[in-house]
Amino acid sequence: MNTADTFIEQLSHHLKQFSGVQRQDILDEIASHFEAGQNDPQLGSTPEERKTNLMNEMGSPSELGQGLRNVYRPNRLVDFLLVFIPVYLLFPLVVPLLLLSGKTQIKWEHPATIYIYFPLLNVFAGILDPGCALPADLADVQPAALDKLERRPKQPGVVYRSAWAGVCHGTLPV
Amino acid sequence: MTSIDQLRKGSTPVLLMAVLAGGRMYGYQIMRECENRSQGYFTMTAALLYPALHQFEQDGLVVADWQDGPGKRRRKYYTLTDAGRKALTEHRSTWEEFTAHLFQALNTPAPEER
Repeated sequence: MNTADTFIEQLSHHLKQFSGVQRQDILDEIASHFEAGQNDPQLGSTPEERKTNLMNEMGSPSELGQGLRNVYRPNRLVDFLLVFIPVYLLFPLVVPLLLLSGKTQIKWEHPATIYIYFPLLNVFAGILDPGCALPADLADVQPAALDKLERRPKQPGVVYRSAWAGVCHGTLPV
Repeated sequence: MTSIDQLRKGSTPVLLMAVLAGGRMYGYQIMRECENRSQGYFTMTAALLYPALHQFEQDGLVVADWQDGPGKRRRKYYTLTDAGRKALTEHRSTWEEFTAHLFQALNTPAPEER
């Protein structure tokens, strides 16, 4: 196995989080880089000289892999979950603190209050029943706005759009 | 990383865009063109070049297409888009302004020399 093949094999190892097609495209591109360099007289007069110079200007496979991972972020779902899960788990602690601070008032007897504690349920409710109208954000959950929490059937002829606002999901007529 | 390396890295995007403004090119060709244009001063590694090109592609500054090369391998060619040309203009003016102010500051005599 020559040095170019070794480089590509090592790079492939650093791209294992990429999809098969994406990884193959990148490896093909780098392989064509090697091919172009090995045939370029500007890099040296002998194949050995060209190979040495070419390897010197490649950088390391890990550096290249890291650069490409920074561009495509193939782990973005994991990154998202690492942020989302703690936020979701800690959210019920935030609401009582908000209540204690006196900055918000929620009618606890209202069944839709559960959506405030468990926003993921709200997301599913919005997806399963796009006709239900829920507040677009926590600031709307004031006593005066609680009427908005009531589920309303979709009106014929009305265009609905999803409103994602961090913690709550609802569908609001446009 | 030395300060000159940092400067080189910082100037990579504008340099690559300037090279691509000359026409559709593949990675190895872009690398050589950067080197030739600067008489060998701006050399870059593939580890710096390809992530930058792929970032351009993600940002819509270039479009890429594959074409069979003279050898066994297909080649990925990059073409600067209109957004890329606009970005090049902006980068170029930013660098011109930066270097003009830098040299103005460097060439201004110290207070006791005035």
